[in-house]
Amino acid sequence: MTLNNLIKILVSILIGVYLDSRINFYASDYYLSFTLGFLIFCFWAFSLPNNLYALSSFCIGLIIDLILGCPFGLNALLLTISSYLIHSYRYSFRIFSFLQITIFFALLSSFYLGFINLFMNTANFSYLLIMFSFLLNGLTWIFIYLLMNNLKKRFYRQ
Amino acid sequence: MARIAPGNTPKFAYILLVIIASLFLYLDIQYKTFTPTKNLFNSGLLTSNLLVKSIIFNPIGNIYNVTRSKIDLVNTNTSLLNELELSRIENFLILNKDELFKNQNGLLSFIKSSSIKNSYELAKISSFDTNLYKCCDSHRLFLFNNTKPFQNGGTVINSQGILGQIASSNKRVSEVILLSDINHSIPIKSNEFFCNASGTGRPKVIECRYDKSLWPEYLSEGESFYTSGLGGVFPEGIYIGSVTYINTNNESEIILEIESKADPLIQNHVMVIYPDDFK
Repeated sequence: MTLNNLIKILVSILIGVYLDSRINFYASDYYLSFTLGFLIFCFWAFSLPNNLYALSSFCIGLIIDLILGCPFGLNALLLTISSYLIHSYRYSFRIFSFLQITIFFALLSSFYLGFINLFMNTANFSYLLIMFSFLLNGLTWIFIYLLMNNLKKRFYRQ
Repeated sequence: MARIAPGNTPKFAYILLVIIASLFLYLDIQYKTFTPTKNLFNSGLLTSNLLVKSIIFNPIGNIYNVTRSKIDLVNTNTSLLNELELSRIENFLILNKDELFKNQNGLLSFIKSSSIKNSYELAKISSFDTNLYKCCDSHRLFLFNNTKPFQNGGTVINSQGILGQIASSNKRVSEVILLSDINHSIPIKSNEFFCNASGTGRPKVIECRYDKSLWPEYLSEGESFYTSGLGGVFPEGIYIGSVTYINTNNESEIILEIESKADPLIQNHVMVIYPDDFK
């Protein structure tokens, strides 16, 4: 993968992370939490399985950790594991329906959210938030998939 | 059910990076090894933000204002807003001068004397992650330093009351740990009842846990709590907030949830004060 493409991917993920922080300020009142940044990362790992491997996922995770002020290594760990899962299933995705893929990524984002909350919100860990966010992130994945596919065709050059 | 299809995913790289990431995580949580790196990054980010704003966005905004012949009005408005915020904080300080300053001469002598800046300092909030404040346990905000970094332990207040205290400083910014941060604790009292209230990780909410057998008297909802001054960090007698909920589910322990009056979201300016015996 060229540096130019990596920067494009990184910028799109960071925009997602920024939007997360803006929207979640209001959404958390209703036990909802978006994981736009993570879903955008998943989209790239899903649609470019031969390009976004372990090291790039790890580095992107570290950058997100620095920007968000999370415990250092948390996002790096979660993104690396997610990247591994997505790569392991990359051939199986071909026979999955879109609904199955949506459920897969909604589950993955719920695990991501759960782990983030486990480390950063231990005192007020809420299963309700995880469950509501599962549905929300499932719907968000559909939106992200359509939008990012469009953007990928327009901006991403192999 | 689809099985995992064989692929050429390089497992070794993944395992190695997962181990490294876990190690980073452990070191950061256990020993805060990467805190200086994060602070350095944050201050760099803030500086670049300011530079970008002052070099690109402010001139563009100013051009717009000039064309509208309103630049003076906008500046005056901004400075008036800032003055209003500062005067609100000062009003709070004047109203609570007896509690905030142990010196019998009161606040006026401090204002007249040249050492006023050593007793309290006004500060502008440089960054506050409101998302983190609402979602997570860690409630921190950052202040721009004035001429020198704020001293650790200084009490941070706004026009509504105590927000927290200075936790750490570097050359550019100082970190404030808010009362509601899960790692924060403040000694408070209500009449004869004393306790150490710790942060809950929820905005504005702190809690007191105590053994029912040690304090049998009944505390009701709405009871007001003030700083007790024990520990010498926070001045005595400042209103903190009132009890909003009493959890008696546990047989031996009672948990009082106290909603702090001071809201960190309302102002861009705060005041850092140092008790007399602090320096």
